[in-house]
Amino acid sequence: MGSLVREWVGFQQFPAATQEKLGEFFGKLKQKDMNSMTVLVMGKGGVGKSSTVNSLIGEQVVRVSPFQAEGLRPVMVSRTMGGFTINIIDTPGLVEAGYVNYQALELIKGFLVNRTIDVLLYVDRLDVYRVDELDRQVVQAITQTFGKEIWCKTVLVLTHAQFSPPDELSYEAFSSKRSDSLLKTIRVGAKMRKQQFEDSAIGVVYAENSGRCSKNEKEEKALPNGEAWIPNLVKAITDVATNQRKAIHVDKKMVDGSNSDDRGKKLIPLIIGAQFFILKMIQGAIRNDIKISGKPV
Amino acid sequence: MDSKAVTPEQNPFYASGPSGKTYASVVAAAAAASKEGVAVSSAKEFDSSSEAVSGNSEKGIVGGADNLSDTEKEKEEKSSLEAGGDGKISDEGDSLKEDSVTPEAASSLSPKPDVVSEKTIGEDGVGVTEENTKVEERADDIENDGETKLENGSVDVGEKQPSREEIVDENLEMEREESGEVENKVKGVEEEAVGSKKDEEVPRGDGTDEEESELSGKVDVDDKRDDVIEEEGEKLTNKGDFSVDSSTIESVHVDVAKPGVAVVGEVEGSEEMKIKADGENLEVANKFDQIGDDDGGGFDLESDKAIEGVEEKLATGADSSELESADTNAAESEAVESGTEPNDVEEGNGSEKSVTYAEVIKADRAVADNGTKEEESGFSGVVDDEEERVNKADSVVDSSVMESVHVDVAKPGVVVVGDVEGSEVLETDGNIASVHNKFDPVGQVEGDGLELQSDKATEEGVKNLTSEGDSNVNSSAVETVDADINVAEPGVVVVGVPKEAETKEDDDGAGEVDKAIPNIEKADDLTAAYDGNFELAAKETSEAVRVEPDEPKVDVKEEEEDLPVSESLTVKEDSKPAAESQFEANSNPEVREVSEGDNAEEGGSKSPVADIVSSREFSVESKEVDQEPSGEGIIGVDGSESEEETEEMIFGSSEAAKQFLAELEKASGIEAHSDEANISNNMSDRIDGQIVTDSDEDVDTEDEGEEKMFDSAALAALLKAATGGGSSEGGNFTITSQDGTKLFSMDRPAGLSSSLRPLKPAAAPRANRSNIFSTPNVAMVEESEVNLSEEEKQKLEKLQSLRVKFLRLLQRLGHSAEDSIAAQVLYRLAILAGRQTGQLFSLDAAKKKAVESEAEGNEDLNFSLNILVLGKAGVGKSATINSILGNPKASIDAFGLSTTSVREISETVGGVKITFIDTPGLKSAAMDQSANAKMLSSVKKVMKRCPPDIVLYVDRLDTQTRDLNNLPLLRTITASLGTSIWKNAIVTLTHSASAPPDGPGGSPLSYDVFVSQCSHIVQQSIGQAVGDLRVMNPSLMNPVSLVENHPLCRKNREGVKVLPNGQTWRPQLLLLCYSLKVLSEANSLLKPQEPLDHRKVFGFRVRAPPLPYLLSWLLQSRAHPKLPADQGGDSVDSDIEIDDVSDSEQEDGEGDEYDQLPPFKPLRKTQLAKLSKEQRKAYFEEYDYRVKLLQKKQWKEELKRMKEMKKNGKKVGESVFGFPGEEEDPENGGPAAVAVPLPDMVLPPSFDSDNSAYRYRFLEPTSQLLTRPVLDTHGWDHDCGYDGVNAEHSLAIASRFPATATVQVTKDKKEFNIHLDSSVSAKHGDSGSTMAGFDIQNVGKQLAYVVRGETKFKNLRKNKTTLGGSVTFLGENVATGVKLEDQIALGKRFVLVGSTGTMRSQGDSAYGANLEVRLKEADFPIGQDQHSLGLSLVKWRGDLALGANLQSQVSVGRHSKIALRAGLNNKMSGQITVRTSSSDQLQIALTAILPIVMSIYKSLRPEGVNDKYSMY
Repeated sequence: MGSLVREWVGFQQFPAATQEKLGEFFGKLKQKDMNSMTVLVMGKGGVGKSSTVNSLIGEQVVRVSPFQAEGLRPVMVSRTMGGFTINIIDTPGLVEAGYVNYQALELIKGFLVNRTIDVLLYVDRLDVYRVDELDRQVVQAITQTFGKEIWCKTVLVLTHAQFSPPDELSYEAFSSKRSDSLLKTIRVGAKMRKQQFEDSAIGVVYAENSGRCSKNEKEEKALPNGEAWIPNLVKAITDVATNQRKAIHVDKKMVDGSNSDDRGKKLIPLIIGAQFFILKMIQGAIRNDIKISGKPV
Repeated sequence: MDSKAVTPEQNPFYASGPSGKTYASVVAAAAAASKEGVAVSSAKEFDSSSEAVSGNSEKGIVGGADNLSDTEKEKEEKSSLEAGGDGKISDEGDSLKEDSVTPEAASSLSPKPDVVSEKTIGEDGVGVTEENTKVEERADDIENDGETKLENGSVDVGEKQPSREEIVDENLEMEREESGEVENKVKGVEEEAVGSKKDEEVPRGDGTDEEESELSGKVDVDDKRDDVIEEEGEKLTNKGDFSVDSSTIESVHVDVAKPGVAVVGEVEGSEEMKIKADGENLEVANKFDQIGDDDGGGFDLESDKAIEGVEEKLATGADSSELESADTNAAESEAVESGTEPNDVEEGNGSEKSVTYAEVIKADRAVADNGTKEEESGFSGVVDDEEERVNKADSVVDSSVMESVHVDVAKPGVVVVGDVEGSEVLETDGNIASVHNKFDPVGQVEGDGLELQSDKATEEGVKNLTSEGDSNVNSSAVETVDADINVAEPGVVVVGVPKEAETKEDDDGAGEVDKAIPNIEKADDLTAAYDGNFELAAKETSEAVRVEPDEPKVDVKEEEEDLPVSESLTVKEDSKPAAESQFEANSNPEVREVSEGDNAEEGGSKSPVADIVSSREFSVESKEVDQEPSGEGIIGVDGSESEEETEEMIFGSSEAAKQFLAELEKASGIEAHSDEANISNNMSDRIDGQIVTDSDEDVDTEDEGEEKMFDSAALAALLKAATGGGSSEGGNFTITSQDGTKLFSMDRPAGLSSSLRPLKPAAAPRANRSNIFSTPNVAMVEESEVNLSEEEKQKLEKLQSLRVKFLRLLQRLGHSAEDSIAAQVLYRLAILAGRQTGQLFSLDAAKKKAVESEAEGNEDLNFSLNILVLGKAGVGKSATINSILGNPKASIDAFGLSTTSVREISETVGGVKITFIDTPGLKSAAMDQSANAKMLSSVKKVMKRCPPDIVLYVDRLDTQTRDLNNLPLLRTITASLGTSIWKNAIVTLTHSASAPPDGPGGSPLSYDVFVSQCSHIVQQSIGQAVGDLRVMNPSLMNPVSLVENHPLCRKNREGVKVLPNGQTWRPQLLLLCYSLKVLSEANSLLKPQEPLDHRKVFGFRVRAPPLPYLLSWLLQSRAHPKLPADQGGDSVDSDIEIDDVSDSEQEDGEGDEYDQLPPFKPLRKTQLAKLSKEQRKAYFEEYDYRVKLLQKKQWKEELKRMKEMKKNGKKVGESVFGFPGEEEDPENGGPAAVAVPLPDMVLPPSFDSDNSAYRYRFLEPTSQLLTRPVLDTHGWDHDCGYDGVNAEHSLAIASRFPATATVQVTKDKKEFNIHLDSSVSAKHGDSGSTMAGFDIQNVGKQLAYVVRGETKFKNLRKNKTTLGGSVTFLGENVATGVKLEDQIALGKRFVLVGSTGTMRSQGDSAYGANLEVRLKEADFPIGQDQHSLGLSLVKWRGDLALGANLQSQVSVGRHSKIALRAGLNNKMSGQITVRTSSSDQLQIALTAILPIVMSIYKSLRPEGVNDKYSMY
């Protein structure tokens, strides 16, 4: 399971500006006595989860192929740097053939046993216009698996951020619309109350993993609006990791879930008893009926 | 392939079946060849010898034909016959001449066009002379025959000319042994002329002819056949010719397993067929010729001894070969024989395509018959057949629509060459010309026959044939013929041989040539006569043919006598060298050489011919000559040259084959009957050798070998032909023509020849051939146009207009016709138009017209496009529509649902009215598919109003993954709109300007890879969703078009959006749409019948009656209605056995018990309640006992009464009618027995008046009309079991025939059913009863009307038998059924019922049987316990359904009854019903609670699970 913890070589590949910022964030984490951090990356298939992981690590750690589902099992990438360890868990897509892939979810759950999730990166594409039922189902499935709390530890990552919006919308307007609609889906899917949801304050980060991503003057990968997105992402991650919420610890119980077969088991004798009494009642009613009708006509 | 070699004889034909017509034609030709065998061979020889010969032969033939017509049997009267022939024959003769000429002509023509024209003729003449010599001996008889045949043929020809296809039988009568399978490559038809042995083969050949005729000009053929009937062989051939006309056969494969098979003939036949396709008339003629050859072949084979017979056969064959005229004659003779054979043929047909095949088969058989008659020398006959075939081939060539001919000759002596030649001839000849050619071959055939019979006669015939052949050749412009020749055995004369033969003949003729010329002159007279005949048949073509043949014929006659065998021998020798040289040189040089060797004239003529032939032969051989069977070294020469080349080669070979055949025939004739067999063998051997050589083009060497073999001029000719053709056949064959007695002797065994033949490729000849053929082709095209039927023309015109339209659209879009898509469309249009490439359908003309109309500014294209747009939400459907239309007609919104309902958007774009059906986005979640389906159903409504031509399935290019997320919605689309929706679907990928993602290496993919990957993913998904491989055939893969709607999309200078790959997507997409629409329009234009047929077939299937159901309905045993007087009596089907009556009578004492009991007072319930438990028990016991006794008593009284009635019945007669119920004891209210003429409803076993069942009890015995509710007896709650009304009426018609009618109408939530049963019965005495009935009932959504009748008789005391039948009308279907039922009573309690029946409808039948054992309680009517065990068996469509049924009804206690029904079938599905009815055991009802609760619980509990795992 646990892949070998390696020195974070890729970190050196980042532009100096990025390295600086990242170091800053990690230092912040260390201050909070967090020497390691686990990031779970989830999302539908083909939205760029693995690419995001690669971007984040700065190495091609996870195989990415454009059309192929990247893998059927979760993969954890661990990198250590200056005593700080970051674990990133890449997961298979959660959707297949129009259904939520519960099998994959089970695999993920199994993989996470006895781990603590500090941050969930929920990945989707920015350049898709519509949110549909499947998105809701995915959110729902995640909620069911890890509980509503997971969403308090979530960063929404929107990939393919380097594009020009249609219909003459401005980039900002489009991206905020898109992220709003996704957040709304998450809220609905997680069945969170509005207040609760607002408290959780899911951060949104835009990402562009493509090699064609434009770079800013500091050689950082930048979005159309000029922001360097990797530091943004790391910042959001650290923010979430250090927020007041408890990290999600995946224990055996959570993995096994409540056995639905056991649900209501205790009611069985009760129902049997009720049946008996109902039977008695009916019999009594019938007897009564017979008595009444049995009287001389 | 041919290799299939179905059963020897018939099978081949069947095999040919696939290409129906072509095969048939081929077979027919073969048959003809077989019949005329000798004549054919001679004809071939003549051909080979040269055109001049053909002319002679014609004359001779004509004469012969006349004679024959007058007195076919009178062979001796040659002169008289001939004269008659001129007059009568003129028609016939023409036809014959044509036939004979065709082979020769084909050969000569093929060569001539290229190189020699006049020269070849001269050669022919020489050849003719030789033949004539041979012929002379037999000529008289043959001539007579031929003439008669000719007459018939001529008549037929007239009819046939329009369209005739002949399939030449591969096998010679003698040696077809296995199977000459001719496959028409074009149609893919394979003929297996496995003729298993000669006789069979020959018949087959005839059969084929017939079949062909039927196919092409069926009516005409029939007529011809009649004529033919006189001469069986001839008729067949004629028919064959007709078939050829229809021929669309593209390729013909002939496998000849046995020796002596005339593969060539078959090939020729196929060729002919092709020709017919082009020009009907011409083709027909060719066919006739071939037929004639076949006939001749048959003769040879059959009769060595009976020369006369042979002659006759030959003559007949000639007639057939003549096709038009000959056919009639042949038909006559053949018909006689065929009488028996036809039947066989028909049988064979059944298996295959049926009509055509069957016909062919018949024809074949007929041929066989002829063959048998002639039969003496089967081997020789084979050769003849080959020749005939060759002739046919020639004709085919003329019509040449054939593309490739494969000839496999397994055994020796097969004249493969002949086939090849035939094909060549066809090619060379123009359509009309080809017709002539055909005639000529026929003439040759006849001539051959004559030769066999009389040398003189044969010579004439040969000459005629040759001349005709020449003419044909000239006209014929075969485009491409692929000939595959496989010669397994030695001695097969492949292509090369024929040529050689020709050359040889020529050589022989050297001396003879002079004679031949004079003969020709004489022939002129004859020709005149013939011409008249020809006109009748095929006017123009026939005339031309006639003229040519006539001359040759005359010469031939003269020559015949003059030139003895010896001369021929010498000539042969000379010719051989010449031929070799010719072959080598291929062209003129060779000819000259030949001429040198031989007389100048002969050589000259020969050389050209030889050259041509050789070249052709060579090509053929090189192409596909596989001599697998023969170990002789005929190594499968697969020379796969260009198609054209191959064709040419084939022709050459065919010619050569013809020559050989002719020679062989002659030889056989000369040799006399005894020798014929030998000759045939020799021939076969030679053939093999030739084949080998042909394949490699080692003709020269082979030829040499052959030359040795050949003694006579015929041999020489063969050699020449072989050499010229490039076939080394000559080498193998040693043709020794003794003085007219023995034409050929095969020195080597069939198997040995192969070793001798070296394979040498001759490339030069091919080139020459190609040149030669090029011009003829053009001519052909024109002719083909001329010959187009009105219908075809209309189609072509429509296609053309479509093409113009498309070109205009192209122009408007700024695309050129060279654009890949456009080019494809145009190509497909051209394919759809078939090979018609003439003025009517020329691309250039279309282009010109398109440019013109565009220049005129004619906006109206009369072209509209309906486009349905489907796709996921948010992929850009509406945006795409906007982009295509160029203005924002559809509202779009990136985030919202912009399109909420199905909308139509129309606009005219570039003169085309485009209507888009815009749809709301589909949802990809599997859970949302019902919403999708709903949306799609509204799409469907719109589609009905506005059927879409094109469906755009829109998706995004940049979101493609392999997670199959689109599968659910694609499946929904498929399910809602049908798989056909994908047929004209274009996958449209939007966002196509987005940058490709990074590849595995981290570097971005190339755009093209990206696009192709995405396209593949989408197409694959569609394929998976459709699940239909037919739809997803790679070639039908939905085209993909890219779309970019983004306003920032890059644009080119014209402001047109450009994709990253530089494509301008909008015009591209429009072009794709136009193309698809144009193609589908073209398809629907050309094949309107096919889809209709499919639908019809499909519909039939859907509506096929449910036979098993009808069967079970039929098998049901029914009670016959009875006259009231008979109620309960011992009418035949009474449920109560008389035994019971008597038995019960014996218990009278017991019965009286009831009366002796003390009075019993029933207690009221209140009183009962007061009783103690014991008292109550005792009371009930007593009560039950008394009830039982009472019932028994009543029953016995009833029986007694019935018995009384029975006794008095005769006296009382029917006057008793109407008594029922009136005498009823008032006491009997409870168990009312007899009064109610209805079956009682199930009543509770006790007399509980509270039971609701009694509420529906109607006691109206006096009314004849009874109405009551229908109780669903299988329901749980009988109170709620009423779902219908039943009315029943019974009456007696005429006081004698009791009738009942029952109507039951039931209706529940799902369906409404009506069911009418009515029946009338009549009693026959005490032991018989007949019932007729009429039922109406629902079967599915249709009403089935059943008329049924059955008779039941009691044949033993305890045995009753029923016979019945029914006819069911269900929609358009009629199902008939028969049943047999038997019922045996074993003792009082056991009844055994067995029934069996069958139901049949539209060739579909169901068989069923039932067996039932019933066990009743001892005191049955009173005790209600009974059990029955039934077994049923139904077989339908190969499906065997076995079912067992157990029914048991038992009383439990005094108030309860349990009924158990259990059924199980062999599919391991079954049901068990336990019904308990009780009047006082309430707690039993509670037992039901448990399962109910359990099921409720189960349905509740899984919900929790579902919540979590609902996805699974």
